[in-house]
Amino acid sequence: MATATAEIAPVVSAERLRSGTTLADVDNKREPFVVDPSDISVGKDERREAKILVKFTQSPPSVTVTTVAEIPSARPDTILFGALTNPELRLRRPIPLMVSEEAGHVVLTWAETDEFSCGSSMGEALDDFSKAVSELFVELNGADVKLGEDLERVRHIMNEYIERRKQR
Amino acid sequence: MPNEAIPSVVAMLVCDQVIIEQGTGKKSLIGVFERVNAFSFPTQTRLAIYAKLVDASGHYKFRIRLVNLKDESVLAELQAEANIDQGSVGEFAINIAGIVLPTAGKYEFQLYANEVYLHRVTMTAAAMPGGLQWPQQQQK
Repeated sequence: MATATAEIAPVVSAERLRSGTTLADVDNKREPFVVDPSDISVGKDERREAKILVKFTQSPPSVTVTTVAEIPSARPDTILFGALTNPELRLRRPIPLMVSEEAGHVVLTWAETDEFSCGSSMGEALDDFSKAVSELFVELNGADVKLGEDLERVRHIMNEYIERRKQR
Repeated sequence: MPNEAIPSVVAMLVCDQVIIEQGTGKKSLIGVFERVNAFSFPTQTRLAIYAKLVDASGHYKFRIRLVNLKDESVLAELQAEANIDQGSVGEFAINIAGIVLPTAGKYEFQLYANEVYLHRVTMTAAAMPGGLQWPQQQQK
C-alpha cells in the first residue's frame, strides 16, 4: 500500500524572532514548525528579524519577518503599479503613480498621462486604476481609431508600459 | 527598478493552513476563508497565504503586508526572495501564526514584488453577536 507524506508549510510567528536568528534547519527536521507568538514585545526603536524557510517551486528562498514598534502607514507618496487584472494585457514595466488624498478619498495619479483613479482605500483606488487604464488602453488601440494629438500622445505613452499578451 | 518581468497573480487566497505534499510538492489549501469571527477584540488568529504567479522570470524580492483598512496601517510584513525560471509558474505558500487583529473591520493582504504592487486580498474580522462566554467568565 502506498503511503503519502505531507508537511505543513512553514509557520511564521514572532516569538522566536530575535535579531539574526536563523531557522534554516527547520526544513531538515521535517517537523511541523509552529510557534506561538503571543508575547510579541518590541521596543520603540527595535526591529526584530528572523530568516525562515518558505516553499517555492523554483528555489529554497529565505523569508525575513520584521515586526516594528511604530506602525507604519501602508499609504506611500508614490507606488509602482503592476496589477493589471485584464488577462489579455500585461505590463512591460511598472507604472509610477502618485498617491494623494482628497476629500477623504485616496487618489492615484499617473502624471505622464494625467490619468487618475480614486477609492476609499489605496487598494480600492488601485483596483479602479487597473480597470480604467485597461479599458483606456483597449479603446485607444482599437482598430480604425482616429485620435487627436493629445490622445495620440497618451496612447504612445501607454504602449510603452502596456502590451497585449501573446496568444499561446 | 530591476529589469525582471512583472509577474501576474492568477490566484491569491487566505486560508487556515497550507499543507505541502512531500515528493510532488502539491499544495492543499485547508479552510479557505474571507471572514474571521471572534468573541472579542483584539483577537489572535492563525492563517495561511497562498499565491500563484505567472510571467515571472528572474530574481524577486516579495513582500506581503497585512494592512488594517480602518486607518491603512501596516500590522505585519513578510519578505521573501526567490529565483523563478522563465516560463514556469511560481507558487508562494506560507502559514502565519499569531496574527493579531486589533479591532473588528476589514483587513487586506498586499503582495509586492521588487517594490511593485501586484495584488491584494481582503478579509473581514467580525465580532460574534451575543457571543458565547468561556466557562470561567459565565456569571452564576
